Parts: sequence; structure tokens; C-alpha cells
Amino acid sequence: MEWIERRGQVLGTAALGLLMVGGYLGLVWAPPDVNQHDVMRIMYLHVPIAWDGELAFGVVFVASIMYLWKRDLKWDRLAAAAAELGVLFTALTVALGSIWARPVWGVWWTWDPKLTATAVLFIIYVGYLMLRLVAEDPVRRARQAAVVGIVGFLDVPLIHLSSQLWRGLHQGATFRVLQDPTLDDRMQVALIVNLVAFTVLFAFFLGQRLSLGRLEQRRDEILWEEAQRV
Amino acid sequence: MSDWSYVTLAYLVAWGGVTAYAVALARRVIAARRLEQRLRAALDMEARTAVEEPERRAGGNSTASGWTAEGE
Amino acid sequence: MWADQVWAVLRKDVLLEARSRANVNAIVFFAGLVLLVFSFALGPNRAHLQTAAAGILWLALIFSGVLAFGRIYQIEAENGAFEGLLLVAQNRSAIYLGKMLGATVVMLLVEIVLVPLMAVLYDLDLSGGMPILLLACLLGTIGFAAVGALYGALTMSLRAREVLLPLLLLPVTVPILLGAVKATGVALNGGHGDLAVWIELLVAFDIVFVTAGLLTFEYAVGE
Repeated sequence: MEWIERRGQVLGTAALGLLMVGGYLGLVWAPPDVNQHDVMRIMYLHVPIAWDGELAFGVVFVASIMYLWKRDLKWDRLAAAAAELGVLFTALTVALGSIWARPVWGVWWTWDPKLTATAVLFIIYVGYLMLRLVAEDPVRRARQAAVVGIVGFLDVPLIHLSSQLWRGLHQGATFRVLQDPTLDDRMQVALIVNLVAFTVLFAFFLGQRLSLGRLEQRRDEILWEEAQRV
Repeated sequence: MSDWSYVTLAYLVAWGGVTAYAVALARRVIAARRLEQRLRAALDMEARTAVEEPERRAGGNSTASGWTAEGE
Repeated sequence: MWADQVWAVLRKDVLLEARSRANVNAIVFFAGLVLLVFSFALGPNRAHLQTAAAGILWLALIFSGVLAFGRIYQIEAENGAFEGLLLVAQNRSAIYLGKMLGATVVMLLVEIVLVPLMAVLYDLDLSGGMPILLLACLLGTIGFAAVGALYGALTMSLRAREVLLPLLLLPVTVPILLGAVKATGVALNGGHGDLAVWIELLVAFDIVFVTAGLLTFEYAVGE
């Protein structure tokens, strides 16, 4: 975990560079879509950001299990950092989904199964962060958060499944981007570059957020020592 | 609204959101580092005065007897 | 042995409830009130209410359920009596199951009152769909109670419990809500409709979350 923190500068610069390249590829180089024309370019943001959100929650899940197993607070720090990133990226995913839906279907919201599932996921992890805010001592907080992190992640496949079944009965506006056979070669390249770019960005943010977590933990330790001495 | 306005909006939201978070994170890190420096400085001060105080008391007898004189 | 522990926990809670019926009565009345309030908000067109009936039923159940899941730990939370529970049942997973079953019983009691009440208020025909309705109610209730008994214990010691419990519970139980409402809808439709897939969803949820509850309860309450 420490190696991500230490490579901050490298990751940050790399992310910035890749995002610029990805932006160019997505906005200029890739051709417009046959059906959705230029609006399709939102995909080069939406798919990678959605992926970042899912990656984040996977990290929360693993870190939560590791904490309950090893009881080393560094895992709790990882879970907290990843959850914050997850909330950021799912919020952006939902916002982008809405912006994408408007020109394509004329509505600001469509009960697309994946978008609906992402919205629910967003709320689950906001709840996770709220729990961390009101919990009192760091060890108990880590324990309680870990349970929520695990249970929340276990719910993900069920949420996806149920949203799909729910919508399946009323066919309508859905994003079926990745199964779209009309995805041009150039579009695939642009998508992959943006995917890599946003993953590197994720790693960069994670490292920074972990540093912050470590500083906060040290501050708490110092204050605790002081309180003991008095 | 044309296609490109939606695309622009989307890219503004995405890159803007990411930048806003990066800035907020940087500020939190700087604030935390500054706080830690101040805490350490304050604790060092305290540790030093804690060492100096007993030395001063041991060296100046007048102060000590001043107290006891009052008491008697 | 383990089953005895589960039974011991369940029995203790049921006896306590039976002696002071304030707890369960209040929850049942609250559920009925929610039903009424939703009817005011969505009615009085009977056709509309009939279409929305399954959803309204489960909304009333969720909201009263949230109350119930908080209450089943209230005694332990107020009196610091959780250690006392450990005397009755050493296995924390047994405590979980006992609490979960207790919550299920309370919610089933609510359903026994609510379903006939709703049938009367909305002029529903329950004849064709009774078995499906029973199944949907049972599976859905187990699913809610599985997560509710876990999160209720987890939030027991927190000062913001009243807000945090529903905030954590509701999003996680979305699949159960969807499945239960759809299955109930089929039942109210005289049994016509695509039922199998929803029942499978409910069963899958129940299995996953009862297991998760059994495995993580000890961490939720403190170890």
C-alpha cells in the first residue's frame, strides 16, 4: 500500500497526461457513432468512471475483510479511502448517465438497470461514510464499517440482477454500450485509453487519500497520548 | 441543445468533478500536515518545559523556602 | 446446543414482548397508519390504489420493520445488557438468528393485520393468489429481518441510530423490495404473471444475507 503513496507524483503526472490523450482521442480522433452521433463521446467518460466506482467498492470489500482478519488499522484506512473515491465516482457515473440520457431519449432519467443499480450503490456507500462519521472510537468504527463494507458489496450482484429483472418487464431506454456491435475500432482504442487513464487517476487519488488517512491517524494518536498524560 | 453542448456538459462535469476533488484532497493533506507540525512543536515545547521546571526548582532554594515559610 | 441457544434468545424476547404488549401493538398500529396515510396520498381512486397495493403494503412493512429492528435491541442497548445475552447464548451467531426470528415474527404479525385490512380498504380479491401471497410475505420478511437484525445490532450503540439504521438498511434491501412487491403483485392479480424469477430472487437474497448475518454478527456487536 505504501508504494502507491510514494509514487504520487508519477501517478499524478501520468494520469494527467493519459487523460489529455484520452480526451483528445475521445473528442476529436474517434468518429461519431452511427446512431447517437457525437453524443456517444460521453461513453469515453461514463464507462471508465463507472469502472472506477466498481473498482473502489471491490477495494472496500477486500480491505474490510482484511481488517476483520488482521485487525491492522491500515486496512481500515484503505477501506475508508476507497469508499470516498467510490462515492465520488458513482456520483459522477449517475450524473453522466443522466446527461447522456437526455439527448438520446429526451428524458433526464431513465430507469436503466445499470444506472439504477449505480444509484443504489451510491446511497449504500454514502451510508458507509455516514457511519464512519458518527462512530466514536477508531477501533469500533473500523469494525462496524467493515461489516457494512462487506454486506454492501455482497448486495451488488443482487442489485444488478433485480434492477434488470425489474426493467426487463418494461422494455425501454437502456444503455447497452459494450454489447454494441457498431463500436468502431477507433472507438475501442479511445475507450481503452480512457479506461487506463481513469484507472491511473484512481490509483493516484487512492495514494493521496491514504496519505491523508495516515496523517489523520497520527494526529489522533498524538492527541490520545496527550489525553493519557494529563 | 445540440449534441456538442451535451458532450461539453458531460466533460465539464466529469473533469470538473475530478479536479474539484483533487483540489479538496490537496487542501486537506496540507492542513493535516500543518496541524501535525504544530502539534509536534507544541509537544516539544511542553516536553522541554517539563524538563526545565524541576531543574529550576532544585536550583533556587529561596523559592522553595518562601513557600514553607508562609506555611509555618 | 446451538439450536437451543437460538431458541433461548427467541423465547426471552417473545416472553418480554408478551408481557408488555406495548411494543408489538405500537408497531402494528404504526404499520396500519402508514397504510392509511399512503392511501390518502395516492387515493381515493380505487383503481389507482389497487394497482399500487403491493407497493404500498411493502412500504408499510419496511417502515414498521425499521422500527422493529431498532426495538429488538433496545433493551440491550439501554441497559448494557448485551453481555447478559451472552449468558443465555454463548454463540453470537445464535443470538443473531434468535433476534432475526424474533423480528420475523413481529413483521408477520403486522402482515396478518395489514393484508386483510388492505383487502378491505382497496376491495382486493385475494382468492386466487393466497398461497403466492403467503410465500411472498414469508420470503420477503425473512430477507428484511436478515439484514435488519444485523444492522440493528450494529447501530445499537450509535447516537444517530434512528437515522442511520434506515439509511443503511433501505438501499441494501432494494432487491428484496423489488422481488416482494412483484411477487405480491402477481398474487393480487389472482396468480397470473411471471412469478418464478421473483421467487428465485427472494430465495437467493435470503440465503446470501442470512449467511452473511450469521458470519458477521460477531463483528457487528463487538469483537
